[in-house]
Formats: sequence, structure tokens, C-alpha cells
Amino acid sequence: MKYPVMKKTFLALILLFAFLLRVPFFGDLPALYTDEASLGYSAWSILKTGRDEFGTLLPVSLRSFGDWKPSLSSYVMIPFIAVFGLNEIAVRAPSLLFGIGTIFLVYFLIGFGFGYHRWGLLTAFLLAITPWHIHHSRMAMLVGPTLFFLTLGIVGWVMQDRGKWWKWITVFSFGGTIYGYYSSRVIVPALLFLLLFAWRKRLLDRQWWKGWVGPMILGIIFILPLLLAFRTNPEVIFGRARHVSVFTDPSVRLRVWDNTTRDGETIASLVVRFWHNKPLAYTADILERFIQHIDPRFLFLTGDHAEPFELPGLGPMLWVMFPFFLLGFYRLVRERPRGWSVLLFWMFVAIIPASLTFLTPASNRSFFVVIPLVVITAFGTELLFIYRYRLLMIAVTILVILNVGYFLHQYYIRLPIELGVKYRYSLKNVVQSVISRQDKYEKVVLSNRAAHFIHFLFYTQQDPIKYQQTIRMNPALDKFGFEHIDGYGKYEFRQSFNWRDEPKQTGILYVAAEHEVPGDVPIGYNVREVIYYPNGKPAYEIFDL
Amino acid sequence: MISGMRRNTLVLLCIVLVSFFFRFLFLNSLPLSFQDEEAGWGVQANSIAQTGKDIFGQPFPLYWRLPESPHLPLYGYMTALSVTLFGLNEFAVRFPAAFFGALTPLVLFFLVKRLLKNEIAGFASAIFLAFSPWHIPLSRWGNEATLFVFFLTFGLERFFAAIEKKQFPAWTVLFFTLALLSDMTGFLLAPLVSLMLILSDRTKEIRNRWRIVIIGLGLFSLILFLLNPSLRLIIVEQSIFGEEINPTLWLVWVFFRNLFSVLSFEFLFFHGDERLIHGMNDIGLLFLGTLPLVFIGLYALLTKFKKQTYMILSLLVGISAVAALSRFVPDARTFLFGVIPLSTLAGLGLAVIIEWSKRVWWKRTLTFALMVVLGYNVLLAGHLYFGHYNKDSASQTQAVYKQLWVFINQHMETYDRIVLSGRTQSNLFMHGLFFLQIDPGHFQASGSKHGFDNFLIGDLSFDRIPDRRILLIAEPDFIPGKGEEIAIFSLADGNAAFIAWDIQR
Repeated sequence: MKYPVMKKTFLALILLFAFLLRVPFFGDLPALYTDEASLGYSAWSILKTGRDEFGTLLPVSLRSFGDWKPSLSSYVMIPFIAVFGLNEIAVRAPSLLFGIGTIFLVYFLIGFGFGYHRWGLLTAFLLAITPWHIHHSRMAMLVGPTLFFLTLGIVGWVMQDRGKWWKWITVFSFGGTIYGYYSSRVIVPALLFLLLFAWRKRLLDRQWWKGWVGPMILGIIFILPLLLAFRTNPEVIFGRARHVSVFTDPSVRLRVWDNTTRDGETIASLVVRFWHNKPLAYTADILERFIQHIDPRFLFLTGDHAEPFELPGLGPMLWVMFPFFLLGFYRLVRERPRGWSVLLFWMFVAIIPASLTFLTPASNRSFFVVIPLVVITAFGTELLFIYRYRLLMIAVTILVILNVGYFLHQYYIRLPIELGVKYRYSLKNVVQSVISRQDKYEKVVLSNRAAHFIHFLFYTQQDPIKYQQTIRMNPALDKFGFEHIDGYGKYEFRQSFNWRDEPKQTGILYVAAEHEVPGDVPIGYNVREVIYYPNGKPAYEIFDL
Repeated sequence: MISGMRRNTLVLLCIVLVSFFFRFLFLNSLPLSFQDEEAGWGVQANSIAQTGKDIFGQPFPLYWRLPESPHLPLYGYMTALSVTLFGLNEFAVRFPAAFFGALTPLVLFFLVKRLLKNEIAGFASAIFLAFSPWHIPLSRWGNEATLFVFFLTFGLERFFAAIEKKQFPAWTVLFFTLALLSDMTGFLLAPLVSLMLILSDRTKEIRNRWRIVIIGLGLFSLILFLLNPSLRLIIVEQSIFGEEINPTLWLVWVFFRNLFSVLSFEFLFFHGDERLIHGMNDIGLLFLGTLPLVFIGLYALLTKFKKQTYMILSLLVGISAVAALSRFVPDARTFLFGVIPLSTLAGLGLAVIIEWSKRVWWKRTLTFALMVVLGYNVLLAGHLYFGHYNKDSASQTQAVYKQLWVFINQHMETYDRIVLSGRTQSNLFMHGLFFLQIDPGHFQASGSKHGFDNFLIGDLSFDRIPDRRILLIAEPDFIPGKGEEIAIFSLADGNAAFIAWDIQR
């Protein structure tokens, strides 16, 4: 495949630029989140024992906090942990590499798959500077590697006639995607269905089907472990979905009930049901949640406010992209270039799982929409190069520089200061401080707000077998469906720390969030260390009696 | 056989009838809460109609005090007419809004037909507006928003008519001026739309004429603006310019956030305005079923039309920008003119769908399904408004004002003095003048906002009052040193809004 040097150079520069944007303070910013620590520890446990921390041999789904995380992210961490040890960089390295890989794949899809190289380069560049993608390339929150495999699957599908092995790549990648993130178990089948619809003319071609027989067998083999695990424990697939689904949230039911009760006083019940019923209320609710994910306020201005996805004063996309997204969308529908239907299907399908959950809009659950959004934006941006309005190009370039500069400032400087609490900064310091003191105490009591057991397992590199032997599980799930560990070894983790309920004994080291520390402390209360947030405010206190 | 033209007239007549029906049905009792602004319009209009002066003695005012903030005058003079016809009651105050609101679909039909040369789109737009869950509630209480929407739409229609006939658009000048005199949003929007029309028209001759018009309108607004400093203050206070934002560059961010809020699907298709007086609970400003139609209409507009695209999108962007300048976003009332371009888009969308679905069974089935959804939307909106609205809004304090004044009217003879207290005293006082039908001439001579006859407003220092028997109306958090509680005026949620005390010395 002949390919001009100029374009190669551009692509290399974009990938280098993407790397440089993503790599500063890689392990420390943002602070390691509980889910990342959990995935990392599971990977460490599998590496050391072949089993996760709960003793499951080569798990297809990780029990973690009772949320049954898909296991792909942990497996791809294993080589990095084997080389660099169990630390933040090793845990996040796959996200970075797969993130850069996705930028390349997107270029490949548009440039080689659809045949538009300029559009492809623009897409790669815009993805490289998109805050949403940068953030997820710096954190191990499941979606980074999954997006890579999803994109590779689509690349494989689009390229299926250009070589036999593309079909195998498609199946392998979609299989990987299913093991990557909860929502991909909805996205992959739905996307395949829509792709088959788009390629419907081929469905009657026997030769075409023949080419798929081998890859389909591989696909079945690939999915088999998940199906077998599901047969013995349905939680491995539905564990998380059940707790975050819109049908779990009572608000819609309550609204219907409220209206029904009020109307019921004066109108016949059948008529009341015609106006106020759950199917219609849920349909409207899901539709609204779907639309929240393409709301420009969410995408370009305010973004997600849930931890750990909030970016201070920023949306997940750069605001400068908004007019180009509109232009691109219009152009896409008007000109219908090759692959336009794939992009629209992708955009549509990527939001469906997120809109079936409450607490929306959610930037992680809808993360896979970033690719079609950026591709469409790039299609709009391409107009600048087609019409070559020099002044406009200069103006846009300046705006892009300003916008990226503002993002970098907010992300690398303001995030730890403004959102230190949300990102649970300084927990590593808590663990280090406790480790340095714990030998003098019989017990360490930690408030849920001050520390999480997983950070102790992670930073102390706890032996998984010893952990399994001393673990004290709490039998009750919390309101979000998470399991809790009451303690292991000499550590006790309080779900709700209340100083008044604590036995006032010596020989115990307490760790609590600053606001949980009692004002009416008895005589002999010794603050051993105060740990601060990056903005200088006190975060946690370590004390004894 | 009915000829095409006759059939169209019949359809149009039906639309207008429906429009009047939904805007006038139970007009005096729905909404139940008679708003402070409505009481103000009624009292001042009655005063003008009877004496030629407002209750504060100002002859034929340019700005109407209701009672604290100034309002542009047109709605007041319209109300003066309707009060003369129907007497001082809720219906008369609401009549101008309902009347011009009911006529707007008719005007929209002619505008869309003239602009897009598509009769079906015209009918569909008019139907959407006639049934609109956004326009109907705002047409049913005494406020000036529907007035400016009517005049601006009519002005636009006359403009295109004049262009077609190569005439000077004199009616447009008149209607735009009326729009400018009717509402604060119209005050900002009318010059903006005029400018937009001038820029849209490439005919040199017309453009030159329009230059004169814009200059005239601009000067007129400037004069109005300068005439009253409190109006200027209100515009600043109610807009984002009144927010203390640093650095000033953030204003741009706030503006865009507001703009996206005004144009958000959540606001337009799902929840509408949170304030009940601006709409209904659990429903958007537009029917959910029109969501695809708006996009289809937009696409058709972008691909099949040129000048019209500029026109309709400019109207939408113009009103959105004006609404985004408000501090209180998203606001269905400020954004009300948006119903015109959005109904036009939905109407065009429906016309496109109807054309597309001809002769192919599955397309017709899809269209039929969409019609069913739209029909359900209309029925649901009707149910929510006529079945729920008064129940939902019964918790507003205004819901008990009438009951309170009827009580005072029945007991006032027994007392030497009636004292009205509380934070809402100025609103209470306007409602008192309205429900007691106080003679405006008498009030002008002897009353003030601090009281009239044996009514005292806002003063709670009883020791200084020599009267022996006082009826005190106070908010529940005020407990006088002595006296007996004789009545409680409760809201639908059970919370007391006012308590009547009998104080004897």
C-alpha cells in the first residue's frame, strides 16, 4: 500500500502530540481511584496466583466491590504489572497505549476504511486533543481498552473484503469488547445488527457467509466462558446492570403513582391508566436520558459531575468543536460519504446503554460515542480546508490553541486543587502514614470516607492468599448494590464512622476524614498526623488515644 | 364536492375554532391563581377606563406600574377596553392575551404559506400552535407575551406580502411598533427582526425604504428606553449583565450556557418551564411527537430552501439569543416567540412526511403511527392542563387571595381598621383593589400604597393605632401580642398562607 510520506509524517506527529498531551504526571494525576486500584489488585492477584482476590480461577468477570467488573482491563494490565510492579503507572499504562492506538485506528478507519485521508488525519488530531479521550487515556476505568477493541472491530468489519484476516480481527475484537465494559454487552450485538442491516445486500450472498464460518466459530469459543460463567452465576453479566438501571430508580414509578392517585379520585381507573402508565413514563424517561447525552451543555460546557469524571469548568469535548460538529452532522446527512450510516449507527448505539441507567448524563457509560462525535466534527472542520478561508483558518487555529491551553491549565493545575475531594486525593499518603505507624497498634480503624480497603491492598501489595484468609465481608449490600469489606488483618473499615460508637481504647489507630473527627475528644487524644488535600485544606486525621 | 379553496377555508376555520376553544374554555377560573400582575393590569386598566389616569394619578401613562415594576403599555390599554366591555373581573383581564393568542395560529398559517409556498406546512404549523402546550397556558393568564408574538408574526406576514406586491410594508411598521410597545422581549426583538429583514432583502429599493424604517424604530426604542430609568434598570437587572461575574469574559460562557438551556431538548420536549405559571408539569413546551418533525423540517429547510432558511433560522437564533440574555433561564415566557419558528419547522416536517409516505404502505403505516403519537400527545396535554393544572398550582399563595378578600369584604363593617401585613403586602393591596372593586377616582383622591379608607397596609406597630377593633391579616410567621385567631387561609398542600386575627382593645 503506497502512502505519501507527508501524511505518514502528519500521522506520526499527531500520535506523538497525543502521547505528550497524555503523559505528564501520569501516575499521580488524577489520584488513583478505587476502581483502578481494584482492577490493578485483581491483575496482581491473577499474576501471582492465577486467581483473583476472591479465589476465582482466571475469572471472566471480577467480583471486585460486588459490581462484577468485566475482566479485560485487568488482563491487559498483567504484563505491565509483571514488568513495573503493582503501581499506578503499570495500572494505567494499557489505557494510555490503547488510547494512542485508538487514535491510529480512527485514522485507519476513515483514511483506509472509507478512503478519506484528510478527514482521517483531522479526526486523529481532534481525538488527540479531546479532553474526554485524554482523561480516559490517563485512567484505568475499563473504557479505554474497550474503545480500542470496539474501534478495531468496526475497522475489521469495514475492511472485511480487503483480506481474509479482517474477519478474524472483527470477531476477535468484538469478543474482546464484550469482556471490556458492561455496556459493550448491549452495544456489540446492537451494532452488529445495524451493521448487518447496512450490509443487507450481502446477506443473500452464500460466498460471503462462507467467509464468516471460521471467524464465527472463534466468536462462539470466545463468548463461551462468559456464557458458562453466567450459567452458574447470572451476576457476572447482570450484577451491575441491575443496580444502575432506570427500572431500579423509583422516581418514575413514584411519579406515575402520584398522578394516578390524584386522578383516581375523580376519573375511572382505566382512563387514569391511559394517561399515566409505566410503559409510557419509562419510554419518555429513557428517551430523555438518551438525549441528555447529546445535549451541548453536557458535551461542550459543563460535562459530567460524577466522580471521577468531572473536569473543572469543562465539558468532555472542546467548546470550539461545537459549530464544526453541527456543520459536520449537516454535511454527513447531506453528502452521505462512505461509512456515514456506520457512524450514525455507532453514535446511536453507543448512547443506548447509558440512557438505560439513572444518574445521567454519564460520561463513562457513554464514552464510546466519542469516536463518532469526533469523526463528525472532523468532517465539519474539513470544510475549512476545502474552502480555504485563510482568515477563518487562522481564527479557528487561535481558538483551538486557546481552548486546548485552557483545558491543559484546568486539567493539570486546577483539577487537584478544585476537585481534590471528588478524586479522593491523598489516600496514598494515608496508607503510607498508617503503614509507618501500625506496628505499635493492635488495630487500625478507618472511616469509609478516609480510606478504602482496596487502597491498602494495592499500596501494601498484600498477599492475595493471606487476604483471602483474613477477609471479613459485610453481608449487606449498600443502596447502590456494592459489597463492603468490614476488615482484614488488623484493619477495620467502617461504612459509617461515628466517634460516639467507637470503643475509646488505647492501642487503636484511628483514621477519619477531617469533618468526622470529634470536637468533644477525651483527654489523651493525640493527633499523629494531618493529611492535606492538594489545595492545602485538611483532608484526613490520623489519631489515637 | 367541496372545492379546494372552500375546503381550505373550512379547515382553517376549524383550526381557529379549536384555538379559541382551548384559550377561552373556563378562562375566568383556570388558572385558579389570579396572579399579582393580572390584578395590577386589571386595577390600572379600570382606573384608566374610568378616569383617564392610573391609580397613582398619572394620566395615560407610557409605563404602567403594577405596582412596583414598570411595564410597557399596550396590554394595559387593551385591558382597559376589555374591562369597559366585560367589567372588572378575571375574564376581562385575561381576555386580550387569550384573544390575540387564539388568533396567532391563523396568522402563522398565512405566514408559513406565504414563506414556504406550502399549504400543508401552513396548516400543520397552525395546528401545532393551536394545540400548543406552550402557547395555550401563556395565553390564558393576563400577560403581554402573546400580544408581542401576535404582532411580530403578523408584521412578518405583512412584510412578505408587501415584498410580493413590491409595496412599502406599512403594516409591518405598525405591527412591529405595537410589538415593541407590548412586551420587554418584543422591545428587544422587534428592532432585531427589522434588521434581519433588511439584511435579507436584496432589492435595493425596498432596502432603502427599510433603512428609514429601522432608523425610525431604533430611535423610537431609544427614546422609550431613555424616558424611564427604571425600565433601563429592569433590563439590566433581569439580564445576565446584572450578574456579578468576573472576569467579564465569563459572560460569554454564561450566554452560551443559557442559549443551550433555552434550546435544550429537556426544556423544549420533556419538562418545559419549572414555574407553573409559565406552563405545565411533566410536559415540554412542544409535543414530544414533534421532536423528529422539527429535525425533518430543519433538514428540508436546509436542503430545499434558501432565503426562507435564513429567515426561519434567524428568527429562532434571534429569539434564543434574546432569551439567553435573561438571568432566569430557561424561561418559557421570554422565549415564547420561539414557538413560531419551531412550529413552522414541525409543520414543514409533517408536510415532508406526508409527501414522503404517499403510495408506499409501510411509509404510510409509519406516518400513521406518528399521528397516533401526536394525537396522544395532544390528549395528554389537554388532560394535564384541564385536569391537573389547578390542582398543581393550588399551592401558590395567589390561590387564596380571592378567598381572603371575600372574607374581608364580609367582615369589614365590623372593624374600625383592617391591617394587612407581610412581605406580599403590595400584591395583596392590588388584589384588594381588584376584588373589592374600589372606585379608582376615590382611591386616587384618598389612597396610597400605604392604605386607603380604613385599610392600613404594612404597618404592624399596633400601639400607635388608636382604633378599638382591628382585623389583622398576617402571614403565619407573625403572631401579634394579643388577639384571637379567627380564620386560616390554607393552600392546597395544607400550609397556611395567611391568618386573620381579631384584635380588640
